[in-house]
Order: sequence, then structure tokens, then C-alpha cells
Amino acid sequence: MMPYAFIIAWLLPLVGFVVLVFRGRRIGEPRSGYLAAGLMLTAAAISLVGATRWVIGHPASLNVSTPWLRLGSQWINFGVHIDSLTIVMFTMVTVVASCIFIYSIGYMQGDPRFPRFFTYLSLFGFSMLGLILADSLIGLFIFWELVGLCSYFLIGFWFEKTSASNAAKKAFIVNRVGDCLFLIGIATMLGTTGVVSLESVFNQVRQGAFAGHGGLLTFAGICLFFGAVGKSAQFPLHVWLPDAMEGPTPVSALIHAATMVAAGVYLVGRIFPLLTPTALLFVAYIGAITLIGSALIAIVMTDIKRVLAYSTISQLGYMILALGVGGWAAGLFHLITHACFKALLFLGSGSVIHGCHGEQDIRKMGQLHRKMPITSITFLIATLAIAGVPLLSGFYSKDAILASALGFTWTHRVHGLLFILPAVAAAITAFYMLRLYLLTFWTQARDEHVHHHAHESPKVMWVPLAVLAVLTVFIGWGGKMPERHSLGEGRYQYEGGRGLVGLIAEAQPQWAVSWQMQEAGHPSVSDVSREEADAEAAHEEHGFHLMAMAIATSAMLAGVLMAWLVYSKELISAGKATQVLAPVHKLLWNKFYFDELYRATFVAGILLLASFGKWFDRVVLDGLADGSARWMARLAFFSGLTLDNRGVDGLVNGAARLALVGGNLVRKAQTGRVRNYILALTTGGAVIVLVFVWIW
Amino acid sequence: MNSWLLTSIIFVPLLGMGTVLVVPPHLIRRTALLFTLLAFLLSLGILPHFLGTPIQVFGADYQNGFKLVDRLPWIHSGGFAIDYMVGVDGIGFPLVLLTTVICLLACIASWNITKSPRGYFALFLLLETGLLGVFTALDFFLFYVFWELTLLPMYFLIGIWGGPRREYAAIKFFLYTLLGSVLMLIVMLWFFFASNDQGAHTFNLIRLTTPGVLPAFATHKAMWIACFTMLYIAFAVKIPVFPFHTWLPDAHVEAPTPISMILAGLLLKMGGYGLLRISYPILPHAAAVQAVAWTLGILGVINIIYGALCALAQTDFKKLVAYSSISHMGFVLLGIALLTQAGFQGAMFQMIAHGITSAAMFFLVGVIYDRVHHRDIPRLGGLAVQMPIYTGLAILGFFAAMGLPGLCGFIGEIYVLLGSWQAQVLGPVGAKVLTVIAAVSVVLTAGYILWSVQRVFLGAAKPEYEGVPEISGREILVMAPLGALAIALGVLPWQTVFTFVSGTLDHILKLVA
Repeated sequence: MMPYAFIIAWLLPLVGFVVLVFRGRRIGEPRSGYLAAGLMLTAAAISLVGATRWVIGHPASLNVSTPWLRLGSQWINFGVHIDSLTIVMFTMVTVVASCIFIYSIGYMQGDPRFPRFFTYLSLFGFSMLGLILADSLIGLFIFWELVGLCSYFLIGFWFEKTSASNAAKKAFIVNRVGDCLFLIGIATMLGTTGVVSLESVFNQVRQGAFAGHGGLLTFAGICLFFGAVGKSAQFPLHVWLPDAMEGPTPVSALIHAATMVAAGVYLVGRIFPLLTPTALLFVAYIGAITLIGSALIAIVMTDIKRVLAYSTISQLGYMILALGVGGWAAGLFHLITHACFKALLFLGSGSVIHGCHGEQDIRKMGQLHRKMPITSITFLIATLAIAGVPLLSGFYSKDAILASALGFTWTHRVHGLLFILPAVAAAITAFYMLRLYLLTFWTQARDEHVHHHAHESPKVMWVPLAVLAVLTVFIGWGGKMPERHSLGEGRYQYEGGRGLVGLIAEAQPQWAVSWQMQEAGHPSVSDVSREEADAEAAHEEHGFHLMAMAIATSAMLAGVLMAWLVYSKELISAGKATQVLAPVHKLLWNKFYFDELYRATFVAGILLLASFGKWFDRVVLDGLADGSARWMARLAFFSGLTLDNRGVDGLVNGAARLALVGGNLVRKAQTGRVRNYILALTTGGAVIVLVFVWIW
Repeated sequence: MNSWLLTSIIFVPLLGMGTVLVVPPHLIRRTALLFTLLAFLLSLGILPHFLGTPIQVFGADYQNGFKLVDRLPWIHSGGFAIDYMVGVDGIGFPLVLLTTVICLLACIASWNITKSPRGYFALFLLLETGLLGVFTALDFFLFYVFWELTLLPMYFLIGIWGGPRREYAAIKFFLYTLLGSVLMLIVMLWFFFASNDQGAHTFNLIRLTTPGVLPAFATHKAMWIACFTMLYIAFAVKIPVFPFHTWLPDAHVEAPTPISMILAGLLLKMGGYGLLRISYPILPHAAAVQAVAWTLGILGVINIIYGALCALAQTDFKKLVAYSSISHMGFVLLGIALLTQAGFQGAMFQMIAHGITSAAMFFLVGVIYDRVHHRDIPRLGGLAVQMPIYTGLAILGFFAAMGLPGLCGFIGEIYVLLGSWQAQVLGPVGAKVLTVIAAVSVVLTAGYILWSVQRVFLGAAKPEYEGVPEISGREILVMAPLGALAIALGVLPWQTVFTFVSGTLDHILKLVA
């Protein structure tokens, strides 16, 4: 029963899409919005009921699948896989999407393509939910591409603007780079294991499908991970996400903050058991580089949405890092909390933009708190949550990540950066988020015109803000990570988790190739010593948590204090700091010059190759063809007219005809002689063959 | 024994040609439509013969997999034994259906042909007969006759109804194909005289695949390599494979829209079909030679990448689509070359998918050309504002070609890539290297498709295209079935294609292995 409820909830947005594609314009504004939002709300209700039912009591996982097609001799099933992570993700997506759909009815009011907007949103809802339910790498890939397609449409929603269509194109192509590697990763997995459903792939790998090919497994893992690098905007494929802010703000909230970009993290979570220690280390470093780099850029950005975009990249980096250092539940927990507060931040920024009539530059804002109190308060809650203020959801998840990172670096001292970078970035996060909040809502109004006309948004927009704010506050409460008990050979079981994080952690893989490989490095341990080790690990983990909590909170306080001193008290002048650090500021302002670098290398290189291809085709290949035709014509005239134009037998005649036709390429069609010419050639060919056969 | 179904499908268009030549002028178009529709409806009659389990349908081996065989003695004199023999198996049947569908849609797309419609539609129907004959002929001589029969109408259709450089393009097309035909002719006669079917020579394509019928070929490696090469060139010109492809962009640019649809959608398939019908089953030991697999595989990858790069550099919309055809047909060659089940299936699927998407794309380009009378991409732009329905359909067509999951282009590409990754014929690493290079096209294809979508449809509305009429009902009638097919094949690839083709393809692969 359960899986079918989720399948129905999954298909509801598809119904919305199909109806709106064909009847959207007739349904019109605002009814198309009601339709899409209504269907999404129904899906959310179904998934909430399903989730409640699940929490009360459930099996480890549910699978439903149907044969879809046969690849070679292997049947590929199209199926859904439901476990605790699926449930949590599904509920999060439907709830956040419902809020954003409703919000969009207000935000997109009066847009000439209002129904189209909800058409795309519905397709996105369907694709995203499909991605969560998919039970195989191929299924993941299919919906992976579909969410990318929706993202493309929605970034380019206002396609009259060149910047929007450029951003849409860039997003899709950069993602395709990741997808290309993703596809190679799938090919490697399929080629070696011969199966596609994740469950069976894990079984095959556990039984040693890659025995003796550890390098290939690492390669496959990194290739699969590159899919996530593209979608979750990790270094070096992060360049598309800031530009994606060209899309309408609800799109930024839903797709480019809360759900789709988190799909990369979700993918890494799903394929986690396949990642070798080397691959995991790669993952961790990519996450660390991303989170610090984008946090630094966020300090100098002045567009409200761009600050949030870089903040999103940075937070996704945290999640990727967490998975890389083995903090599976921590990373995915942060995914969920981040979805709530980042959606809230984006919707808040949308409310600000809406209230300020399209102004996005925070340098022109200020003192909006009085003008839009609800937006201001909800925005503040989200700001504090992302900064990591205790008792708010972001605090718990960030703390869990830092604890995992600390635990990892404790045993791998050479990789100390994997803890230092996220700790430093925690301070930077608090700083740039407070900067954003203070400049927007608190400090002196800097543009009289903008300030004068600013107004609070309508109810249809602020109610979703309030709902998300409530979620942001309490979603992390009462959580407890389960304790894990080693079963040997890289297998674990988990017990005693509580709250949201406990629920997520239930879906944690019970086996991973990296654990197996690590344990294989140690001599086999008895059950008694294993229990001792478990107890010791639990104790240590507790210690890491306390230490991480202390460090994270101090970092947060440092960042908040700094922002307060600079932007509220103005004890330190931001302008002067910019002057003193001019080269650094310039580097950050230009986002480390990645766009320029890629344009100068990859884009220019490919275009150069392309024009070379065009030239080669036109000049070399066509030149050869036309040239040989001309040459044949000359030969024909020579042999036909100069040598002998009387006693011509069929063979020579044929050659001459061929040449004549060729010679007249640019003049006129010799249509009437084609039949003779075939006849001659046919006879000629036959003679050659008969001679051949006779000789043999 | 003979059911005459295939024969009637093949010759209904020819009958239509005769009728078109005599009906009064105002009935020409409707007559042509009637006969293409009739051919399509008749071809649906093949479908029931291919339902059921593969074993029943395709027999235990390749030679028993043919259905609806019609056989009549044709020329039996002077030592020749030529039969009129047609029949379909898993690879012929989908292409027959594709032919009748695309021809029907192309006929609707031809509605606005005003220059001597009588000649146009007569040649058009003759072309359809030729195509149907190629995809059904089971006698090499008959195959050759139909093969040549497609050449003449196409030559005139491009040369008379084409664009400004039509004569150059038509002759180029003709000469290139003829070069291939001559080589095929040599191989055909060679096979005939070398064959020994119970003491007699034979042109029968099924008999020729039976072990022992070509005794000399079993021992002379040089002989089968030579024949394979000549046949390969004949088919490579059609597919078309680098470096024999340069006729294609010219032919497409000059050909009228419906003829481009047929050219890309069907004529190119003759090459891939020829490889699967003649080269591989008759010369299986040649196909299994590692050097042959390397050569074909590398050429396939060159096609894929080179075609995509050339497409990226084009500014003529139709030429861009033509180069995209070259790139997509590279997947067919790569899939066949590396001799895996998945690769074969992917190649066959790609042929059908490309038949749908390329016909759609050429039609879409034609729709714009009819309205603005040029195809210069940089001068276009903002059409999404003026023509939203058209833009929606166009995006469907282009994204299907780009290989978006859920649409038909994806399945063929991913099958070929996954199949070639597993290929054993090139040793443990060779096939993987080719696959990785081919996979780069995923990015390049997105590059040229999205870039052209942006330059043609997106951006602010341009004043010069103010009042451009939206896509008409007739044009939707052409595009909607193609779009629906693209979705149906993408979502249910097994039920729509693989279930029909995989039995035969497995048999061919078994012959090679």
C-alpha cells in the first residue's frame, strides 16, 4: 500500500503538467497556479500521512519495480525504492514545494506567462520526486536530466533577457559536463557488475565484483560523483549556479537552493557504499574547497540573490564534505535543514525584491525592517539558523558535520584542513549572512526612492514564509544520532536514533566498501574487542561533538560580532577595508576568474576546433572531391577528344561520361545521359568481375 | 504461400505515381496523400506478424526469421537466377513502418509545393517505392535495383525543386552514391559467381548467409576483406561516414523541406540497414576481425565528434541540422562496429529515433524558412515570443535529438555507449577509450542544440519578424505525430522497438561471433 501512495503523490504533479501544457492558457491566471499548488499540496498531504505511518512502524525498505527494457541480455527494471531517507526527502520536497508554489501565485502575479511558469514547476515537481524514488542508477540519471531540463526552462523563464538565456544555457551545458562523467560511471558499474538497481550493485560489489580492480572502482566512484559536482555546483563546476539567479526568485528558492541542487548530495548519499577511501577523500576535498571559496566570494557580493547563491554553494560544500569524511547522516541532515532555511531566505529575498519593485542591490536597501516586518523577522530567523545559532535547526546539522570532520581529522592528521576550513567558513558564514541582513533590513536607508516605495508582501507570500520559519526553528529539535555497532567486514547496524536526524540515520548504509577496505587493513577482531571498540567510538564521538559545538559556536559568535562591528556600529569601515585589501577584493569580486578562465580555455578551444572542422570540410574534403572531378574531366577530354574520339568502347565511354558529369559539377545537370552512364558503368563493373572470376 | 502484403505495400506508391500522372491538377496532392496513407495503413498490417515471443517470431536462427515472404522467379536465363523476393524480419519491419510514416508526413509537408506538382509527387511516390523495396528485398539483385531506384527520384527532387545551388548538390549526391553503388555491384556479382547453393549460383540474401554457400570465402581472407571494404564504402556513403559525408550538408541545404525529411529520416538508414542486412550476416568473419572493428569504431567516433563540432560552427540552420545527423549516425556505426548486443540494439534504435528526430528537425527548420525566407541563425531570434506553440514543438524535437531522457534520442545513445563500454573485440581498454571520447558528444550536442535554440527562439522579439504567423494546423499535423513518437519511443522503448528488433539482432550477432 505504502509505495503506491508515494507513487500517486509522485504522479500528481505530472497530471498538473499535462493539463497545463495543453490547457494552460485557457485555465489562465490565477487558476493554473491554484491547480498546480493544489496538486502539490495533495502530494504533500499524502507524503505527510505516509511519513507518519512510516515513523510508527516500518520495514527497512520497500521496493516496487516493473521490467522496463532489456539492455543486451540484462533486464532493466523501472522501480522505486523507499527507505527512511526517501521518506524524509520526499516529505521535505513536497512541503517546501507547496510553500513555494503558493508563494509563486503571489510573486508571479501579472506575468504574461503565468500558466507556463506553473507548467514548468509541475514538471519539476514530478522529476524531482522521481529522482528521489528511483531505485537504480539509470532511473536516477533519467530524472537527473529531467530536473536539469526544468532548471533550464525556469532559469530562462524570462528569455527575452540575454542574460537569462545565457544563464540557462550555461547551467545546462556545465551540468552536462558532470553528466557525461556520470554516464561513464554508470557504464563502468554496469559493465563490471552487470546490474543496474543500486541494491544489486551493492551486493555485487560486496561479493567482490571489483576484486583486484580497486582503481577501477575508485574511477567509477569519482565519475559518478562528478554528476553530483555538476548538479550541486561544486568546484570546479560551480560556475553555473550564481548565474542561475536570473530565474524568478521562487525558482531560485525551490530548484537552486532547496531541492534540485541538493540532488547531488542525495546522489552521493545513495552511492556512498561504492566509494573507496580514495574517492571519499576526493569528495571531501572538493567539498572543503567549495565551501571556503564560495563563502569568501559571498562576503563581497552586493546582489541579494547572489549572496544567497554563493551561500548555497558553500552550504552544499559542507554536505559534500560531511559525506566525504564519512558523516553520512550529518550531511543529509544538513540537506534537510538547509532546504528549509535556504528556501526561507530566498523567498524572503523575493519578498524584498517584490517589495522594492525589482531592486536586488543591497547597497540601495536598508531599514526595510519597519516596512516589511514579517519578511524581516522570518529572514532573521533563517539568517541565525544558517549562521548556526543554538536551538535553531542549522546549529544541529552544522555541528554534526563539524563533529564528523573533527573525528575524521583526528585519525587522519595530515588532512587537518578538512576540519580547519569548515570551521573558518562557519565564522565567515555568520559574517556574510549578518552583513546581508543588516544591510538589507537594519542600516540606514541608502536609496530614498527604493525605501519610500517599499511595502510588505501580500498574505499569499508571507504565509509560506511563516510556515518555513516555523520549520526552520524546530525541525532539528530532539534529535539524536543512533549508535553504531560493528558487525565486521565493513558492516554496521544502528540503534537508538531519535528525531529527524535519527530517522535519516536509519537509512544509513549498513555496509560500505570504504569501511570494508579500512577494516581489511587491520587484523580481524573478536566480538568482545569489537564491542569495546564500539563503546570507545561512541565515547569519542561524544567528545568530538562537544568540541565541535564549542568551536562552531565560537566561530559563529566571532562572525556575528565582526558583522555587528562593521555594519551596525560601523567601528570598522567596510569601504576602508575594501581599499586596504583591494587585490583580494578584486579577486573575490571577479569570483576567482573562473568564468574568464573557462571561456578562454574550454569555450574558446571548442569553438576553435569547431571552426577547424568547418574549414576542413569545406576546403579539404570538398576540395578533394571537386578537384578530382575536375581532374577527371580534363582526362576525359584528353582521352576522348585528343586521343581517340571514334573507336570508343563502353568502358572508356563510361569513364568519360563520369568525367563529363563531374566536370560540369558547377555548370549544369546532364540529366539526360544518366541512364547511359549507369549502363556503361554496370557493364564495366561486370566485365571486371567476370575477369576476376575467370582468373580464379 | 505468398501473402502479397509486402508486395502491395511496396507497389501502392508506384500505383499512386501512375495515378498522379493522369489525374486532373487539383487532385494531385490529394491522390498522393491517399496513396501514402494507404501504404501506411497496409504497413500496419505487418504488425500482428511480429507479436508474440521472440523465439516464435524470429525462429531459432537468422535464416528462419523472415516473415511475409513473397517469392516469384524473375530473370532466369543466361545462367542468371534472379528472383523477385521480398520479406521482413526484425530489422526490416520497423524501417518499413518508419518509411510509410515519414513518407505520409512528408507528403503532408509537401502541400505547399507549387512548382510542377505532378512531377514532384510522381517522383516522391517513386522514391517511396524504392525505399520500401530496399528495406524488404531479399534478393541481392532486387536490392540493388531498388537501391538505384531511390537514387533517380532523389536526384531530380533535389535538382529541380531544390534551392539555388541545387544542381551542384544533386550531382554531388548522385556521384557519391554512385561510387558506392558501383562497388556494391562488384561485390554482388562476386558473391553470385562465388556462391554454390546446391550446385547453382544465387543472389538470395538468406541463402548467402548460410554457412557453406560461399565456399571460397571461407578460406580466402583477402577476398572477404576486399568485399567487406567495398560494401562498407557503399553503405558508408549513405550513412554517411567521414570522409564520405560532404554530400550530405549540400544535399540538405538545397533539398526542399519534405525531401530533407526523407533524406535524413530514411535514406541514411539504407546505409545502416545495408550493414546489418548484407555486410554482417554474409561476411561475419570479416566483421569479427579486430582491425575492422577498430576502423569502424574509430570512424564512428570521428563521425560523432566531428559532426558535432562542425554543427557547432554552422550559421545556416539547415546545415547545422545536417551535421547533427552526421553526428547522430555515428552512434549507429559505433554501435554496430563493436559487436555487442546492447550496441546492436542501440544502433538499430538510434536509426529509428534519428528517423523521427531528424525528420522533425528538418521540418521545423522548413517551417521557419517558409515564413522568413532565410535560415541564417544569427539573423533569427525571439521567435518564442511570436510563435509560442511552434517553439514548444521545436524544443520537443530538438531536445529529443539532444538525447534528453524520456525522449527517443536518449535510448539509442545510452545503449550504444553502455554497449560499447563492455565490448570485448578491441581488448580490455580500447572500447572504453572510444566510449569515453564518444561520451564527450553529450556535452557538444547540448552545446550546439542549446546555442541554436537560444539564437533562434530566445531573446527579445525582433521587429522584422512582427506578425510572423504561428504554426498552422497542417504543420501541427506533421509535427504532432513526430513529437508523440519521440515521447512514446523514449518512455516505452521496449514495447515500441526493442521487442521487434532484438531477436533478429541477436541472430546476426550470433552469426558474427
